[in-house]
Amino acid sequence: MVERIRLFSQHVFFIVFMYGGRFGIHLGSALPCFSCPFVQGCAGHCYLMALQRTHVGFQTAFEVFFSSAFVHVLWPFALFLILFLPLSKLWCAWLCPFCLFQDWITLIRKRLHIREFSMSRQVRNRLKPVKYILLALLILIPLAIANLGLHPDWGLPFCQICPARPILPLFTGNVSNFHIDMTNSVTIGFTATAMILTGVFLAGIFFKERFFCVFCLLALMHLFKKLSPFRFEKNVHACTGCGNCEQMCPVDIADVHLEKGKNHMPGAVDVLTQDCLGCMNCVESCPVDNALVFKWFDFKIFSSSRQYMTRKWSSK
Amino acid sequence: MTPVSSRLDRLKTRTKNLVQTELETQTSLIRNHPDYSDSLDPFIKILQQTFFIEQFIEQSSKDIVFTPCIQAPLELFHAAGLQPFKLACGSFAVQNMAPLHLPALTCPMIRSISGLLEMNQTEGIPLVIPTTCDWVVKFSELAGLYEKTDIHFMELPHLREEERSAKRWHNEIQLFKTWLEKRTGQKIYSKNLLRSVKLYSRAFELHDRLIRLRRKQIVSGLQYALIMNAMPYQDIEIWMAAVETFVIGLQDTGIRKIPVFLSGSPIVFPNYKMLSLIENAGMAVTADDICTMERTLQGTVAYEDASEFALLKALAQRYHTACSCPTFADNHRRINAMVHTLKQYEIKGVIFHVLKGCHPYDMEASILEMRLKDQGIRFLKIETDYVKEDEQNIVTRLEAFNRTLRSIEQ
Amino acid sequence: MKIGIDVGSTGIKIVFVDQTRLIWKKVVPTKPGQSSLVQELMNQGLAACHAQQADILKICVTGYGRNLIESSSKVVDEISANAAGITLLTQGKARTLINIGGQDVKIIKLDHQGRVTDFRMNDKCAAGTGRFFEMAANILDTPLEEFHVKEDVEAVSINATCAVFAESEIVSLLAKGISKYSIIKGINNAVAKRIASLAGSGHLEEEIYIDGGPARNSGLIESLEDALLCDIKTAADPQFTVALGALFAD
Repeated sequence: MVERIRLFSQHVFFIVFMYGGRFGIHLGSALPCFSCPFVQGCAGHCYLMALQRTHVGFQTAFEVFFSSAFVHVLWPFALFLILFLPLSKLWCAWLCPFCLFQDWITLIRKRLHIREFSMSRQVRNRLKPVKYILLALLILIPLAIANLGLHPDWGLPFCQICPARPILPLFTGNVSNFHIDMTNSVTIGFTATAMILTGVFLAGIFFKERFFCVFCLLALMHLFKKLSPFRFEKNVHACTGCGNCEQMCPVDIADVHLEKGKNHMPGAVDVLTQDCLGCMNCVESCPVDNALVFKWFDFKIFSSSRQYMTRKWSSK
Repeated sequence: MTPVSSRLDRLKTRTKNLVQTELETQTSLIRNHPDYSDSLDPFIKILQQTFFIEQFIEQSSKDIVFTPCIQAPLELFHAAGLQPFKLACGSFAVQNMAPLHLPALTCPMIRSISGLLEMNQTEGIPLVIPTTCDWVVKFSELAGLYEKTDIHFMELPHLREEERSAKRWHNEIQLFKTWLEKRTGQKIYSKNLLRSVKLYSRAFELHDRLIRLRRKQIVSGLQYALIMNAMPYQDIEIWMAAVETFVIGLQDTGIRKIPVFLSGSPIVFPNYKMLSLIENAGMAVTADDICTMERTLQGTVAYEDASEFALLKALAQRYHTACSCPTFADNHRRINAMVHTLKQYEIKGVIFHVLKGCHPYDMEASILEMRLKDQGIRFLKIETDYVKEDEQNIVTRLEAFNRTLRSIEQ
Repeated sequence: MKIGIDVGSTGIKIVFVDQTRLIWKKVVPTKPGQSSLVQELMNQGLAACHAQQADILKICVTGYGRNLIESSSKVVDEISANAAGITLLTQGKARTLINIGGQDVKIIKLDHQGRVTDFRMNDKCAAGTGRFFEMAANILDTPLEEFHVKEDVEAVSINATCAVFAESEIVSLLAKGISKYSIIKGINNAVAKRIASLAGSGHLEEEIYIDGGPARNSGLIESLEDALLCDIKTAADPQFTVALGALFAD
């Protein structure tokens, strides 16, 4: 049920984000999902682009940070927060077009009965800092362009290597992002890296569900989760430890299963982790009533139920 | 002088007669029970047959494989076209045939199983043993089965939550599949496995319905025990059909007793001593976490995709992390499921059944007692054996326990 | 007039009660044919109280053989009966009750109304029970009432995990010339330890009472107080609490 609603939502938003601009929809340039600005006629831009740009992002002179002009940087950020806060992680698995693209690939793999690649808890933990390194680069490179005279071809460093940039425009028939820009060594470097990464990620996504999400910078919006009414809680004392949640999680989050060692705490424990995409697969496969609950303030959006779980799998 | 073999034959015949009498007495007790219905006959019939393995094999359309525990995936047996035969025995009489060199404090069920294997012609029937408790680990050696049959051990990691254990167990499940393939000479394709997984998921849904009826006391503890005990000896589809028939024919007697949760050592046909004593003391066993009852089918297998790898991984997880066998080291969550059921169905008391010599449950008892009492739940531990003589002592305690439960209700 | 009967494993106890006042009591050893034995006891009691069959308002039976007595008007399990009995005798002050019966030992926790809140009972084994003391009293040729030993006597260590082995242990200690009182103290300590381990880690709430035949052994009570680190009071007529309680259990 929930899975179907989610798939429906993903498709609707895929169409809205990818083609909405053609029908006059424009949702701004601070979207917390991969609505790629390189898709012509898209309905809004991924905030990561704004973040790297001049005037509204970090490609800004140091003086501006201490002047009233800084409001131009703050404003898109505020908009980003306003958009992010109510939906939080739902932006990932319910709205993000690139997430749906990955799901399609996974669907093909599943149809072919090809096994998924395993990634151990240890590897996952080791990959976690990659996001922070990328974020640091995403901020430092534009700052260096604006202040230290780095060549402007270094601009939009994340977009230049983001695999969504060549892939998503394909759905509007645009293949132009698959090329090597021979202008200078910087452009060659960036475009070549982009092509390699696109290849790597396409293969990665095929063998590992939502492989891109492991590195997704937007997942760092998690840092503001405390401000959001969107919650994911676990009633630790209901959990039987069956591990279905970890098993069914597309990004193999172990913390829902093991609650980050908080298992001696009474009552409900927050288990919304950075990598969580809000897909609710875990809740759907949890066999204990109300052990896992997605909440919006105190309103239960979806909570686990033995009957739901049993029905779902016996009718498959 | 009488030759040894004829003395052995005489012992065999005598034990068979004793078992026959025991079965007749026990089944007539069950049949004379007020809530007995004829739709339970198929379950009793198959359970009676399990004591005479030669005839059982003759009637079975599939080759049988013995397995003493619930950790060998039933889905894999099914996909391989083999019939699992659960080695769990509740007969007191068959203990006569148990080898004399078994230690004095042997778990009575192991004694019974050893006797059962001795009483029947079981040479050559393959055996799958997940290494759960010490008795299960050692009994094949004690019973002298090494020379007689093909034994496949599945080394069960005793940690539930570690990734390394999950990996090892996944590997064990793969090896088990290979072993099954070698036995049948046929490959188990993921397509077949998927079909078995789906079938068992349906069985689980049916089981879930049965459980809900049981919580409402429409199905009694005794009826439920019969149904679940009979499951690992027959084709799952036949079992499901029989359960459907039983459920359709159910009538609510309207009688509501004090509900209790039964936990602890296995309860196996025809040893329904605890169940009937509890019932006679005015209580109803509406829930349990016993491996021959509710844990026989413990959950639906949730798999990521239909590849062999994913299916085996899901099976491995369902038969490992989802299991609350007391032999696990990190078993602190065992109590959660219990308390959850207790609260959800307003059950105020737990009766903990320990068979003498069943160390893992004996050890769990005191841990559980402390944690349950913290939650305001009444707890009664009863240690017993495959004997009838202690019934009076047990009844006294059960009656007093019933009174303590009634006094909190008031 | 009401009659309470406790058909125990070693003794049959009978009490005649007027309202809540005990008017006649008797204990006889259990023998086969409990039913006729009970009938005989009732006749004796009626004669002693100068009463008629018609004066009997009710007969409540408890104990191991409770279901063997046909004339009973109510049957109660001995745990609940015991709790009700001690509550009556202590005006509801008892919170914990240790009962040492012929074949079993019980630790009962109860509330002020005499309702059992929790209990523990040993499994079928004679070690640490009345039977054990009976055996020891026989070998040592000393009645239970004289099992009280002065403090300065050194106790020997006795293994009370099995009544049968303890018997031969006592015999060999005597043969070694160890004093009777050292052995008695050793027995009291061993039994006390066993009862304490039955109580487990759970806290025993005051006031704590002890009853049953062996409660007549004040030496055991002292040892038990030391083992459980608390004060223990003896019920009046410790052998008859259960029979009395049968009449008053809800």
